[in-house]
Amino acid sequence: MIYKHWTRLSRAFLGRVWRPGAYWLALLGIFLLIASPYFVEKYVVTTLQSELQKSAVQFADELATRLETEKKGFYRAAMAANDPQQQFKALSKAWLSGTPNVLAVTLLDSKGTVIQSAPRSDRDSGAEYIAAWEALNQIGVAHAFELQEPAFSALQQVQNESVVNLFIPTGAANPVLFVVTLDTQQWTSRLADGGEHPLSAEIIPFRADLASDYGRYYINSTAWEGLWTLKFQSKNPLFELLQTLRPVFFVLTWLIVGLFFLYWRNFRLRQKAELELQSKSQLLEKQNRLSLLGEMSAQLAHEINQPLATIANYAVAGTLQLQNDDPDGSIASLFQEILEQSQRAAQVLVAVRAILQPSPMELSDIDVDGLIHKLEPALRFLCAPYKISLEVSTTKSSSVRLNPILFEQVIFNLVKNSIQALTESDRPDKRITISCAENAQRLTIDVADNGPGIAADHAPQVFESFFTTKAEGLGIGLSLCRSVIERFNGRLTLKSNSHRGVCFLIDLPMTPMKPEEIPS
Amino acid sequence: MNFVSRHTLLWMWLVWASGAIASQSVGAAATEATANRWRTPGAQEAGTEKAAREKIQSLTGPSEASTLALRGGYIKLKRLCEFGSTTPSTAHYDPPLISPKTRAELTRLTRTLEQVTDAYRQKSRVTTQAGCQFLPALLSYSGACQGYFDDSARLKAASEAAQQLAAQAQERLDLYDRYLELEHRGCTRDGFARRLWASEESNLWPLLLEVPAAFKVYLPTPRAD
Repeated sequence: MIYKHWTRLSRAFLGRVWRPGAYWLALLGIFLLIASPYFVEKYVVTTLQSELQKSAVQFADELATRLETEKKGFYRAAMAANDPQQQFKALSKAWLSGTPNVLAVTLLDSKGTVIQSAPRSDRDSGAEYIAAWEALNQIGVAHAFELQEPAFSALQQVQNESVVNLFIPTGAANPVLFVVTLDTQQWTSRLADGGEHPLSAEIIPFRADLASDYGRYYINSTAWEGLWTLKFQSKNPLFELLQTLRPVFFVLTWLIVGLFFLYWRNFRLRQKAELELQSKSQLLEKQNRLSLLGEMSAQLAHEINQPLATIANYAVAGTLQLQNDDPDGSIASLFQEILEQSQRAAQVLVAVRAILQPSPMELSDIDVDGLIHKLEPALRFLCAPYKISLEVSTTKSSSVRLNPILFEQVIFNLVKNSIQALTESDRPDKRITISCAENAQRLTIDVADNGPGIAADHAPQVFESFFTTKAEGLGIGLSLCRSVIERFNGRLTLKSNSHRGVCFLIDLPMTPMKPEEIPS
Repeated sequence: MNFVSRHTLLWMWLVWASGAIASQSVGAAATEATANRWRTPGAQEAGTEKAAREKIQSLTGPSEASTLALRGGYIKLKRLCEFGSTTPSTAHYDPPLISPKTRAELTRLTRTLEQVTDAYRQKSRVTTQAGCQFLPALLSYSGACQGYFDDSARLKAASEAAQQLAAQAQERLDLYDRYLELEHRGCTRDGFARRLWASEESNLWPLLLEVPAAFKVYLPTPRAD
């Protein structure tokens, strides 16, 4: 009792909770598979970007302070120079040797014209750094005098390198100014040395849009607003790794989503196909039954027609006796015959219904030899119109458990097949033989004829349903006969087949006879 | 559409996506190569074309540096001028410095540069071998499409330079007007804006006016091949 309830409960759980639950679990798993790397990447990038920002701001502050100090130093020296043209050599030498990032020193007049210049001697292209662009010089000079600051800065690209020109006014009566050209790579080179958070920096032309990129960070300081921007790039390999993995992850995500969709689609299609198959299978089974019913109806009509014809004959005979008022005739016997024939018709119907609606069959121990002998007149009646002789030979009473009505139908069917075969033959001695024999508790019944036989290529198919060579045949008779005999635990086979005739063999298990039934 | 064909489509899409990603990275490298090509003369570049390229290049550097210096200087001066003032000045001065003729000249110059680049685009292998644009970037420097990619790179570099020069010139003209406005407000000494404009007129503007001719040499009508 407990086991029964437990089984019911577990089935309900598996069917209603576990299966949909598993789908949701799978969906959740896929979501986590896709979402977790995204959030992990977000977290890592945010952390790294925060570290980059911190280092960048620190560096920018340091650079601004350093630049300001350098500017003030240059400014003080320039203001102290009473005669800049005379002192240029000494000042430029001091600046070039004392400050490693100074590339060149130039002296300009108030119109921006170069008066003197001193490039760094240890750089091949030092002369290139001398502020030789007149327009820039004039703008720089104008602003330096106008702003009254220690220095006016201007960014310049020389040979793909960013240099910064500091326009420094002098204290001389004759307005001239120094231009100190600074190497920006020197500012940023120390960052490449490493440290806790390795990063590289670059001076780029001013950009107002400072949206931080992947592993990049931009800073604009008030001091150099509009002039240049500091661009930082993290050297953390994790950034590159994540950047490389991003497209891979993108493709993998779509692959997983695509495969899941295809799997789900395939699953739904399979479910649908299975349902359709099940529905079609049921329909086919129903149609088979209907088809069998239709075929059986034809046979049934024939089988019932026989007892009905007999009943009609007996009824006519009875009527005639009543009309003739024949005192010797026995109307009672005629009514008895009518009753028996109507019962036979009813039994035929019951037996056929039993085939169509399989249910436990009513079986009984029957003396098959006696049954065949009882059937003999009817069989002879069938054979007579075709001038076919019937030979029935039995040995002794043999008891077999079967349904007599269905068994009679099998014998009738086999005999009718033989009759049909013999009608095609033009031999004079047409003959059907029914013979019974016992062998090791089995009863064998041969139904043979001396007709033309079955074509060799048709022989293997004779027991298949709907196989027929006759124009009006249904091809179900032998199939039904075999299924009936098999329901009696017996076998129906084609024993022999040649141009000299056909022999069908019915093999049935015998039931042990009671001692009193054993013949002496 | 059955299950197998769906699988096929998925794999085709994946191959395409991988190709697109690879093309993107190679495409980025190609863009960088294009930028470098502008700076590094090509091996097959004719002498006149080299001179033209150097002419254009000789202006782009000073133009960019001057624009940045003017922009930076203006920001500083404006900040100094507005320092301590609670309300920024809204006074408007009709700028007489940049004449409509100058602005019209710039518009004409910009249009000329566009015409030169358009003419090159239509007559060069960029159009005659337009089918090459569908070639993956991985195969871009090989075979019959070599000419297409060479011309595309040249056109791209020239177009970018033209746009950059025009935009910088426009910004400078606007800045001179704003400088004049600062001057009128007393934030700079008299004649400051005029001095800057004089520098432009004597150094940058003549160079700018020579640019279309240099572009015509750098982007010649290609030989039919």
